[in-house]
Amino acid sequence: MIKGLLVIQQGGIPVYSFMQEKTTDEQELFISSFVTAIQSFAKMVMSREEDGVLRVVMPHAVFVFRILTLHNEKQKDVQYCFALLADSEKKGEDLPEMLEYLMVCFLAHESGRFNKELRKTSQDLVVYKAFDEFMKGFLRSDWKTVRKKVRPAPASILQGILNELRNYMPIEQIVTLHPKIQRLGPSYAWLSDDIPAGEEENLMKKIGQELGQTYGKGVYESLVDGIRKRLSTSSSPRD
Amino acid sequence: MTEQRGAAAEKPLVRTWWLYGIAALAVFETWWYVFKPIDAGPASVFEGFVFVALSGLCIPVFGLLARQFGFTSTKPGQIMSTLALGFVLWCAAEASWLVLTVMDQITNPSIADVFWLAGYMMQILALLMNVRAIHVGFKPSVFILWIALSILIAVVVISIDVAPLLTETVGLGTIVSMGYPFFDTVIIILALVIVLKFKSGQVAKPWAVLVLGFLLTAAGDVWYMYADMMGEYTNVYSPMDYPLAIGYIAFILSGGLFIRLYRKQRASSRDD
Repeated sequence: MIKGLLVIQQGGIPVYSFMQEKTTDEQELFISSFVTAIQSFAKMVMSREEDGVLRVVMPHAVFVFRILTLHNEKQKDVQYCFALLADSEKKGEDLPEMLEYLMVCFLAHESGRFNKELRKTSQDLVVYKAFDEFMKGFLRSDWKTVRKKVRPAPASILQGILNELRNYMPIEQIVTLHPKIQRLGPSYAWLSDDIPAGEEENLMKKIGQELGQTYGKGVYESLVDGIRKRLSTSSSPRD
Repeated sequence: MTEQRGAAAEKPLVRTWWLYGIAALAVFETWWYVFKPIDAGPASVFEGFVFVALSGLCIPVFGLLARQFGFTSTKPGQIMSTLALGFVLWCAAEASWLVLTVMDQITNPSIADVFWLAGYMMQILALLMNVRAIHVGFKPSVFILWIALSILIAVVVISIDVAPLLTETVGLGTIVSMGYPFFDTVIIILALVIVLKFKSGQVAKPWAVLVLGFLLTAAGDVWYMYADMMGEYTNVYSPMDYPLAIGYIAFILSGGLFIRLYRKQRASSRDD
């Protein structure tokens, strides 16, 4: 069962943490020692610049990590460690897959606001608290239903396309489309940086051409139409 | 520079070695069923081994494709994983059939039937998932064609394979035997949807080959059922086994074409 999600900035500063409600003193002690352990572990992992999903299995807990590199306005790397904690790995619960799903949802939250804040290395931790409701809903739901029925909201047209491309291209191919596209896990990819408008247009054109060649005309256009609709419906109530 | 040119000239041949291998397999199977080269006894065991090997080869090919798409995390990954699982079950069926043949313990139904029917269910599920994933509507004329062909195929299969079974005393063997024409009909109908809808784009070719594999398997199976009922089936050099063998070869070819397609695209994206 999933116990929580942590996002840690380089240097070990936690920017977001969500933990399941604590019930006993023992659990509270366990979680606080877990957070401390993750902080130092994340610092070590980030300094080594390791890639891929890392998994640590302990007698009563499993946690999986993923390092995300974003670029700030000065084009400097900003690293974050996303950590998912579970008390055990249940059958049918693929923790790396869950982690990448939560990463996409986190980064795309409020039309990509969190992504922008993370790139600014914002220390205003209250901003991310808005994700608590999502996490509560996520933990209440069955993972199989979530992965089947709830697609992460698109942060932008391009990011929405990248999210959907997983159903059309292998992830190894998606990351070759542009140097700023990085792999989040088994199937999702994320843009580490804003790209200039002209470059973005070229990238979308390239994706359109590749999808057209592989799956025929109209596939890319219907994909973009769907994302536009989702973007307009997800942003309208808040605006 | 000359060395580089030499390497470049060598590459296409190296990259297509598997295509020659598949062509050689198809030629070998044709030669085997036409010329019947060895005695029936060892030939029946050898045939069994070939079927185990062919169905076994489908597993890594589709497993590799499933891995490329993150196994069950994506829709294509789910389709390829289900196909791979179907081939695992068919390979288990071929292996148990071989053991039963060697031991001369063939019964109706047998353990091989359990694996075959379970494999059919997986393949039908995979085709169904793919049909649902194609966001292309039928044109009215194509839809009518599909309905007409589906009814025709169902009627033909029922009259050849199911109707004679109904005259028998209904036992477990009869019920299991009726499962095959039913699944064959469903497979053909789903395969037709894919053929009629998936017409454009490079991905249409490997899908067409895969569908051809399913059509050959279904045709071989219907023919086998009929021959078995008529008492004409022999366990060696039976012409109805030929489409089944070529069907497996088509599956391997289709998987190879999928892998080559995505590999080529990855290389071209990198070059851009």
